[in-house]
Amino acid sequence: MKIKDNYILREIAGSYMVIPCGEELQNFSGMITLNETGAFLWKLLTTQQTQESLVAALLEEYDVEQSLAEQDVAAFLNAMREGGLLVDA
Amino acid sequence: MRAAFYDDWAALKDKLSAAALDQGVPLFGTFELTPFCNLGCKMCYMRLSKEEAAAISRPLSCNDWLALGEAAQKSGTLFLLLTGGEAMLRPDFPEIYEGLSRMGFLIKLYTNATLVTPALQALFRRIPPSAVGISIYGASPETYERVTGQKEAYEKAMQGLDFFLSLSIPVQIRTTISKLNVSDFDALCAMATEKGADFVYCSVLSAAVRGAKSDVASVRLAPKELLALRAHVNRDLSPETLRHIAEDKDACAGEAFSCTAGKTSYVITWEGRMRPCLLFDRPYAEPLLCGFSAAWDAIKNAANKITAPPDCRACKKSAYCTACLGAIQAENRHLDEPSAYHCAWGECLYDAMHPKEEEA
Repeated sequence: MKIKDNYILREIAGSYMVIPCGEELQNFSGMITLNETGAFLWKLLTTQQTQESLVAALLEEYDVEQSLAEQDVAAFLNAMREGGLLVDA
Repeated sequence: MRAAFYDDWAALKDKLSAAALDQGVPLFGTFELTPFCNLGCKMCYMRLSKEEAAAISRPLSCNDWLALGEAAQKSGTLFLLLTGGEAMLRPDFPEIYEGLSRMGFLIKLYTNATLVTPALQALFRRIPPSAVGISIYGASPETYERVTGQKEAYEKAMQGLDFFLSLSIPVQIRTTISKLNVSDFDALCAMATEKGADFVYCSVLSAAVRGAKSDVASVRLAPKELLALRAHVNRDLSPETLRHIAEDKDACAGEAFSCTAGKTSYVITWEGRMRPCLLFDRPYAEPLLCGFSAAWDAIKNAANKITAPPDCRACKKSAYCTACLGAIQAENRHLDEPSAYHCAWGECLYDAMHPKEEEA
């Protein structure tokens, strides 16, 4: 899975924001803001990832327990899917 | 690891604005893509002829605007307004618009909506702006002829307005009220209501700026006409109505700019000069020569040092004044003294609000 094309992650005045671009503006229904770890996962998802690879990356980057990392990745992916932002390979 | 989906634009904008103000980020940008327009409005504050523009500078190229867009994006601009003149007059408008739309801005477009060709309609259907402000100058072909010199522009504008409304994006009808169209005020309000558009109007018109010439002095409303319009719009001129204006003024007392100009917003005018707002001739900086960040720093610093005319700072009726520094500079070409027009309007408003003192 990866993030759909035509979305840009921007850091503006200390906030991470996901901005639709080009043709995706047709589907623009609201702004998305991410915290630092959400932005970390978003950047990874600009290339193909699996749920497991995201959890592994999170464990390597942050001092967090595996079960919590798994919960957080699942919650993040769920939010991205609900927003129609993910493309499954 | 939360992702927040914001539907509340106002709340998000407020949060970003506060952070941008704190950090000096140029969150709001305006690109004035051209000084030219297909309409000939008598009160226009900035329209230039080709000869007048050539005597000042050369218009920026498509590549110049895209380079400025890239730099603005890197510097933190999110809200980008594209305006003119009439931006769609540029043959390369589609390239500029599409290029900027791929950089991660929320683009708002100001237009008179008379030049929305089928090709441009296809572009906007494919890549809609986040919002559009459409200048509507009257509610009939006859009024359009009086204001713009072009009777047929009315029908074109109505078609353009309906097109943008069909995109299901926020559409704002923006109008400039002068002696030439004040009689259409209610019809313009009704048009906005009927079509489901927001409605904003400006009735205290600015003098021409940056080398432009206009007939604004002969067509803008006199203070008593402005008062009549305000009474008509507000239904009353009670002290309560004015109390809010006074409170707003108190909140920004001591600051030269009560708006975002030079704090979190900038404009880049058609020849590539960055300014605090569209009304300012000076200060300006040249981002294509010195770099965007250096230009923004220069504008921030310069705007911070600008002070209101001494008489304005000492004026006891400032709560009733609608003049901003840009309007004063436009009126006088300097900031050494107040704008006589705005003073007369403020006095008129003050007198209307203090009938007992006047009688006493």
